[in-house]
Amino acid sequence: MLDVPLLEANDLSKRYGDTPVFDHISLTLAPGELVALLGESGSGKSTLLNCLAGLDEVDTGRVMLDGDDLSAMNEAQRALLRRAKLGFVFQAFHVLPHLSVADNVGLPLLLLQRPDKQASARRVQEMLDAVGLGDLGQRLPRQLSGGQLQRVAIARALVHRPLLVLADEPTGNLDARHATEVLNLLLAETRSQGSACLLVTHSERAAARADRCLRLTDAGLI
Amino acid sequence: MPAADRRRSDLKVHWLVKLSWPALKHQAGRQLLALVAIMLGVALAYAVHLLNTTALAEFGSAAASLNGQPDVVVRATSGTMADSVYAKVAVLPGVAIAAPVVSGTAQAVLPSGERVNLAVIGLDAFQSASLSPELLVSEVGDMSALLDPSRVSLNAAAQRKLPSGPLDLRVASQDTGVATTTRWQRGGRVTAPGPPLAVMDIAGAQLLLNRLGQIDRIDLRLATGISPRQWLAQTRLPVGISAAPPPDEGARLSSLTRAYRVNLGVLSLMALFTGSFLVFAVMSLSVAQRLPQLALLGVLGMTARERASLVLAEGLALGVIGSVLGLALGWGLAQLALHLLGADLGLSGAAGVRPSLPLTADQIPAAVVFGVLGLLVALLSAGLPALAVRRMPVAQVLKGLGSELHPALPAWIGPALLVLGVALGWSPAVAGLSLGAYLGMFLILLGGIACVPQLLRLAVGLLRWLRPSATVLLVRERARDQAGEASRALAGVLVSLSLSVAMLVMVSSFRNSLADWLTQMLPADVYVRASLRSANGQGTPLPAAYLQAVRQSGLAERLTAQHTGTVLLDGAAEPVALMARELDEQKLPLAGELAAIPAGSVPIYINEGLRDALSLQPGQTLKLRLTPDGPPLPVAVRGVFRDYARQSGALMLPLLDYQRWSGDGRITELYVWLAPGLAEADGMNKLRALGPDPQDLELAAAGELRNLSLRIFDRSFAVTAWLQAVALGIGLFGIAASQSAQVLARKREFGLLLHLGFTRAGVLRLLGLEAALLCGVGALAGLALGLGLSAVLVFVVNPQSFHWSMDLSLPWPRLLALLALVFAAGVGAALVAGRKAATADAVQAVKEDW
Repeated sequence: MLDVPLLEANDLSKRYGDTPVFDHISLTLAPGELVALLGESGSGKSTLLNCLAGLDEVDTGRVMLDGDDLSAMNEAQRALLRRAKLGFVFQAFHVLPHLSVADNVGLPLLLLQRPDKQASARRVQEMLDAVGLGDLGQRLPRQLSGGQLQRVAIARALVHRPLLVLADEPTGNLDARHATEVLNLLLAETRSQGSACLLVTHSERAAARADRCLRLTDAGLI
Repeated sequence: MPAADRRRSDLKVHWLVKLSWPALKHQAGRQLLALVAIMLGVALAYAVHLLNTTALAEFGSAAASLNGQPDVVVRATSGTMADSVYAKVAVLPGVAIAAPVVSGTAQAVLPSGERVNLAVIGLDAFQSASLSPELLVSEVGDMSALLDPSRVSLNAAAQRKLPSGPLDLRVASQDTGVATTTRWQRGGRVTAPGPPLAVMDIAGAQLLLNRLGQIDRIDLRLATGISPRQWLAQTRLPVGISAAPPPDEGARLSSLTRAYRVNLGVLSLMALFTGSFLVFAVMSLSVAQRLPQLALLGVLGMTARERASLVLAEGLALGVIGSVLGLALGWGLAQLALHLLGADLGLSGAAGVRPSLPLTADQIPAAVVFGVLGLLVALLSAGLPALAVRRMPVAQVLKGLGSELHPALPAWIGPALLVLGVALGWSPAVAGLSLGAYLGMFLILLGGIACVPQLLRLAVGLLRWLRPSATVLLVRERARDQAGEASRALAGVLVSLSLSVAMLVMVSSFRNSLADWLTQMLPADVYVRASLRSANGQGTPLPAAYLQAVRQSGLAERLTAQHTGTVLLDGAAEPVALMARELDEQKLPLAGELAAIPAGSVPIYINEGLRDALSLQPGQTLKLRLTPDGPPLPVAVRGVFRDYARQSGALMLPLLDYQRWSGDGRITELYVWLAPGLAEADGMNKLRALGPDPQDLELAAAGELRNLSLRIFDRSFAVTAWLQAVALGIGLFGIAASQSAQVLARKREFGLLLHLGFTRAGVLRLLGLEAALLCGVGALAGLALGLGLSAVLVFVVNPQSFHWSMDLSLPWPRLLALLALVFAAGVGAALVAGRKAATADAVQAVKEDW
């Protein structure tokens, strides 16, 4: 039996006014697949990622995620879909400064309104242990280094076992040693949970670790 | 509520605790300020409401005690009636109980010679037992006191003022003004509340008040099943006798003081109104600072609706806590005010009433209204930021793009609101209330706030006069870019400043006009009237012998006499106050010009209250009656005079015309210009000594009356000054808080400037210049708006509410001090916050990336 794709984007186009961002882009991701998306700055990688997550609208084309058509959904439905099925890791770590590390990691579970508080707490601790921050759960983000903050973001992206993790240059703000550590961690954890991952990166070395590599150019996705 | 929905709403509270509370804790100062603003706003408005209703209720209940609870009251159409009428009325069909009543006033003469005014009620204890139970003696066995015509029973207030033992009561004849003192035995104590009151058997009261054979009214209880309306329609009363259901004195006072209470109510809402802009500024700033965090939640799957609900829930929490605390504080303030000041707060009709404020269920509806008002303020203040959070593009905002919280308003909105506000501000009163004017003032305020961005951009133009520098460039560009944000931060202080300016100008205009009026109304050196009062509260006449003595004494260089009473005018439901005096029309405090009147008509001068009540115009002719059955007399309105002594109708008539028509030569007031060389105090002593009993006379010097009136004015407006101070305080705190919050929020920007080579002094200069520009525009706009609002208050609200016109007068030193205070508070707060923000922390802040 053929695998049903987890993500299927067909003929996507996006423009800002008269300026095309990307044109006629199609891509698919199988469940558990890790795909790297390369491209120059300004080639539209982040915009494409936003469109795939339902955070931005495409001008033409259709995005299917786990059998759901994003273009047929309203804002609230797309938000609920993101909440349940997607995880995000950003270049600028984006954590809530006034929440403890554990609370930041537990955010998706809080949004998903999981009734079993103890199970949630156990899951958060499990993820903190997995990213090597098991003892730092009660700290505030300002007490952590950049590498540690990105580990918090990875734990948060995976805590609710999403089907797909969208990672937008997750190592862009880190030095080489920390970048490698964080990337290793992201890929290992994603694979261990069976989540798919679309990794936007400038790094050929990072891309080489993926199952598949795509490059966004003016001519489209190649 | 279905289980799923309940779980959802529970979880929203959970979000509030988990997501909002940690962030809001970091703005505790500002959030606390917003909470205090709501609390004070609700507290002041609720306290004023409680005081007003308590005073009215107490007055109403005191009046009800005096009037009893009859179904119908029978009176003579004019004056008193013979007690033979009682015998006829008591046997009319349908009458179950008929109780005759005599009422009047007397002075109790204390052994020290001091006088205490007493209301006197004379009744038939058996007949009045069920109609006026509070007028009956309270102690068991003392009922006999009310059956003995030689004994006088007192209420609590009278007992407090009068020593035990026999009572010397002094009463003046209404016809001659000659006073006599008689001695009476003390009876028991009556439970009627209110001012000092004496209750006695009707025969004793008739004797005391010189009204043998006369009664004032007959209170009737009708037989079961007969309604007053039915009885009045079916019954033929003796000639000259009328009957009506008893007047509701509480309702009468309520209607008389309605304009005053509405104006005080609006004023008491000023703090809440000002506070609402502060709450809006706090909410707006709080959301602006947390925008990336809210955007992150959006990316992680929080829906737009949920994000907006979270912000609204924060406002709701603020509103609930603020309102509950406000209601408690309001009740406490009202209790304290009643304890310290009594309830009148300038409510003249209720003077002397000292009510208490028990916690009762009656207060719940009003508490709910004011609580909801506080809640609405918080929710409306959170509404716009919530809408912005709902609409924001989360992905862009998370990347630091597209963070404009509120779209800019079109430039025409501000001027359009101002024009609409001015037009409405001059609209006529609705049911005697200046609703249009208040709505106009509200729109003027909103228009003024909406104009701030354009004004700020105009003010930026002034910067080109400064030497070009990086500081000037930064200030200019920020002012251009952030003009909308600035106007929101400034809104609270702009509102409180303009309202303060408006109140200052209005009070100053009123006070100066009152001072001018007093000078015109009190041209003589000394004023003389009888200290004894008649039953209707008017002065008894001065004895003819006394007038003769004054004329012959040589103490006066000039004398003017006045007769005060009431007359009836065609079209007027109630009698109108009359001042018949020797008039010099050029010296009257006229509002407008004198009009030519038809030959043969007698000129009258009406006050503004009468002009407005009967829609009269100068030059108009009308008919006047001195008594209800008297002939109609032709008069014409020659002019309108200002009358700050009363809000109700009054007219002046030449004394000679009054005497010619009425044949009544009684004089109630004497205006005395002292003979040259006679010192005021000396002259007053000599004038007093001419009276049969010096204490029967009230003498006052013009200066003394003038000062007393101005003191009463200042005391009445003390409340407004306090309310105004609270509103201004909230506004000043608001500008200080929003300035410092904005400065602290820009820590990273200052860090960058320090990296680029700005000195700390340079950063402070930048901040000082920015704040000076913003606060300068705010202060000038506040002044301009305040002057506009004061014009509406002086020229529309006061004439419509109180029938008092006045001249505009601007207290410049106070206005400038107020502007300087606002300017200094804003710039000072920015600089203080700037010193904190432009530190090593700021350098560190550049490295922070979340």
